[in-house]
Amino acid sequence: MSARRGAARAGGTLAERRSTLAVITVCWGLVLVLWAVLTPMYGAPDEPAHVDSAIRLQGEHTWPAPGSAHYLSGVRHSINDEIALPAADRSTFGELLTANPGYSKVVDQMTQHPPLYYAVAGLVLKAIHFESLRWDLVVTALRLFDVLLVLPLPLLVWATVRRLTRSPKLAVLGAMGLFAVPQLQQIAASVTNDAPMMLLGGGLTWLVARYLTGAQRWRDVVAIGVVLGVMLLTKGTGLPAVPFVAVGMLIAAPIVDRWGRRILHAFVALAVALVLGGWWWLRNLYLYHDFQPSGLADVHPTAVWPPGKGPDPGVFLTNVWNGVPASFWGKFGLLRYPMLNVVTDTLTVLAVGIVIAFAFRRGVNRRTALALAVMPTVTLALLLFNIWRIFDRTARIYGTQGRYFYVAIVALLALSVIAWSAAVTSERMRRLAARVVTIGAPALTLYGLSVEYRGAFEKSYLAVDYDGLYTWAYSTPVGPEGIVLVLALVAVALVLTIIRTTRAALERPRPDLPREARPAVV
Amino acid sequence: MATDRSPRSERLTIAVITASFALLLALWAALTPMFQAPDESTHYNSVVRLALGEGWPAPGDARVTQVVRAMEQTAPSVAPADRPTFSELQDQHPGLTKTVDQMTQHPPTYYAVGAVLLKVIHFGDLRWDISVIALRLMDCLLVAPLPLLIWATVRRLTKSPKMALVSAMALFAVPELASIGSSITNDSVLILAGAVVAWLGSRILTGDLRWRTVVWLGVVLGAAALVKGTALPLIPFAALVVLLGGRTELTWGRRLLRVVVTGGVTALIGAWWWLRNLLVYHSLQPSGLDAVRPGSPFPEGQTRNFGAFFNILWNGLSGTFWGQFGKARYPMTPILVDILTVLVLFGIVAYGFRRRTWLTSTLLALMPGIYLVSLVAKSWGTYGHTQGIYGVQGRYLFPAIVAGIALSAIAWRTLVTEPRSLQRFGRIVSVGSVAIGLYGLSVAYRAFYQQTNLGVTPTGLKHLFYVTPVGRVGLAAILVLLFVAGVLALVRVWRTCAVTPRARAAAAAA
Repeated sequence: MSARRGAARAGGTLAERRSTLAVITVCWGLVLVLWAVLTPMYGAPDEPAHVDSAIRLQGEHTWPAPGSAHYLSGVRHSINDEIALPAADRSTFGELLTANPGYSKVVDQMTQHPPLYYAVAGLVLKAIHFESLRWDLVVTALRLFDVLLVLPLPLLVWATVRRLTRSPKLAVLGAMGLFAVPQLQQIAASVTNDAPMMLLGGGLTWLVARYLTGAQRWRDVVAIGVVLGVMLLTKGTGLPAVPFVAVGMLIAAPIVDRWGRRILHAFVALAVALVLGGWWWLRNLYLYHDFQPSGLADVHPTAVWPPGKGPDPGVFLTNVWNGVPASFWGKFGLLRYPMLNVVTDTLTVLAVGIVIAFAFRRGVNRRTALALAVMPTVTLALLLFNIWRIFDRTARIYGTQGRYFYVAIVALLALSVIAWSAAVTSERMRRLAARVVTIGAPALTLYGLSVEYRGAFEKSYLAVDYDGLYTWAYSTPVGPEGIVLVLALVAVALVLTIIRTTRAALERPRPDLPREARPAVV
Repeated sequence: MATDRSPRSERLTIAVITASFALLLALWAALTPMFQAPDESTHYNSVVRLALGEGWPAPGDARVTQVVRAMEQTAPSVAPADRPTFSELQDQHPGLTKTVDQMTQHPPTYYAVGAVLLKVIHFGDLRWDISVIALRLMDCLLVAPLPLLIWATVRRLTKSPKMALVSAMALFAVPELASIGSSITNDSVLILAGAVVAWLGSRILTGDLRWRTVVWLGVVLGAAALVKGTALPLIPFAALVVLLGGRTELTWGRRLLRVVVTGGVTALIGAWWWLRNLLVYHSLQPSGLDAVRPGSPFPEGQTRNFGAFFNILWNGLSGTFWGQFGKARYPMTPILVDILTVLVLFGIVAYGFRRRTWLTSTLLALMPGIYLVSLVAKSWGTYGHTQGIYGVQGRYLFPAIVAGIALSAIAWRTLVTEPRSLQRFGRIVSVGSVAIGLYGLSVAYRAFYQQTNLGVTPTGLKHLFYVTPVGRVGLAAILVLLFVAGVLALVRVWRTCAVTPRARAAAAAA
């Protein structure tokens, strides 16, 4: 049998089939829908402010200076007076805005961001005629819009890992890694500009991975510049993507020719990004003399340290360590319902430890790993710098949140795949590790969902009782029937996904194929 | 793995490691301010009561004396040189306070030994802090053989002298153990007993089927039972080891007989105290604090929260296991604590249990396992009675520390096979453990003498040298000796870890 024919057959392995990726994507979408239905109204970080800014922008086409925007009184009313009502008794946004005209005194800090996400969300609002809809339906609609935005994440992880490792099995396992981060799911399924950032960050990672592995035509370069530009026009958490693009293009293995070409590529990509989105930040610098003026500067007053006292590095580090990793994995509903520390600590130490110890081994993948590490590392550095700066100014520690890393989630998953596949080498352990991922990651999703449910409806007790279920059923806009339907679909999808991905990851190479044509073993 | 260096050199190395550990304990004893270790004043109070011939009251009936109260109160303000003798202070502060000394819930053995020591040194005529230091040093002596026992245990189980020496070094990575082991507490006897039981157990599991080993096991268990109730969890471990050790060589009947003999010796030495408790108080161990801690069950509609309990358990146990000094008030950074905890547990769970040696691993895991389960059960029960989560102290696992380290050694021996990785692993563990030990010391020093500020200032050092009961010269001597011994130990282990030509050749051949 010829090698070519063997290779064609190898295209038929489970891990390579489109249906496998489709199953994962459908399951991913359904899990996100469940999060959107489970999370109480405004029960995700800053959700009311995001909704408020979208409504303001679509109604009045204004984007006030950071810190000077205020909540619409109607939106405040939905937060303060109607959140505890049964869904059926809630008002439409039209009623709320008419009955409560004008602005409240509460600052809506979202105008510290560029307005792109809110403009698009405003179009969604317009399309669904939001004023004639009950407000909780409108929030849910925006949540589902965000779900649509992040729906391609499994595809992006899969394509990135496949491109970098040439192993379809590792690509499937990498995509399954998304199920191991329940907090990302809750954020992605809430109203937030983090959702488009996950999509754009993931897309950019995939494009850079392509560039790193040889896709170095001009259109590839321009695509990178365009995505980076749109990121910059969406949120400041995209800034770490700038060094990522620069480093990625400069250290990429040269396919065509010399240094000069790659420097030119990097220059063009960054120039495109600057024209599309970078100008926003220069505008900030010009108008406010600050890259990103804080929308909450007036809310967090400046503190005076007593003489001889100052911010303590130990307190700082301890708070960061206890706050950032836990809220990366799962600390749901306004950071109030944490997963068990034993879970988050174990995941953190193992995930980071394995990457540090094994991802940067000498070999083909070292450049790739270094490039992928740029975005999360710069994010970490900026996060630490910011928390410290605010700690120094206000004597309090704000912003220890792991969700700032979600923009780099595809890069983090690709790095993890590279590291684990270098760390686990024996065939027996690789098969075991594959099972741990395909079964363990969905288990973490279920655990995260249970923590949110118990936090929101059972006062965090280890229980599922009538009162809790009743509250959930009648406070969510989809009602009990909707909940049952979503739960049933998620259950079926999870089972199918676990079975399909486990089989795909464990499939043995066919013995009748020549060795070089066999699919890479997990 | 064969021994490439001569056994004499290996013995010298373990001797240096043990000496370093003993000096580290002495440093902790000199560094910790008077009565700043958990329950130290009540342990001391009970020793003194026996030394003065005042008996062993029923649990809950004993009181802290005025003189010990006076010591606690004046210790921070009166410099050692100005402290009166024990007798002088007692004349100024006669009688009892109302505070319960709960230590009479334990058997009096440890306190009797301490009392003998105090009598021998005529403690009444000495400055009172000297008597505290004397008892602390007695505890240091009790805990000092730990590196030796770890080495012997791991060598027996893994047949790797390298791994055995590295495991002994790993002890330095648990600063809390040094801090507890160098304070006045009956736990130090239990730590030693648990270590000896683990070592004898490892001998039995690896083919030492002599009767005298079994009898020694019984003697140690019996003696430990006479010291503290926390010896009882060692008994099921020992029974299973004797029952399952030598499965291929001995018949069931024979092994059962050995279990009976072990149990008999243990009972003969140690059971009578607990039988007496049952007869006199109708309880195996009546609590000395029952009267002090009244119950306060949850009101209607509230119950124990499992998640909150589990989080406190995880954070509290890991934090106080590795290092939270001075009555559990001054913690090491949670970053280090979490990393160490996760790595150790991951190593054990993922690699500790191989098909060929699963029985040994399971038995070793049983020892910390039983302590952990009883701790959790007790704490969960108290949570229900009192709405508070108490007793989450990692030091309660210390009697099983040798078993735990041995289990880790087995795990990492499976994980790290290549000679070069073994060399790197051994060196990282040795240097890392010493660094963690130093960091632990620095946390305690900064807490006690620098108001927890970062840095070492002349003021803080002056304070320490002024306050320590062993005096400037004593402290300086301990520091210098510890430095020399520690560096020597590190250098010797570093060299031991080196890939030998023979190992390299064997690896190349394979």
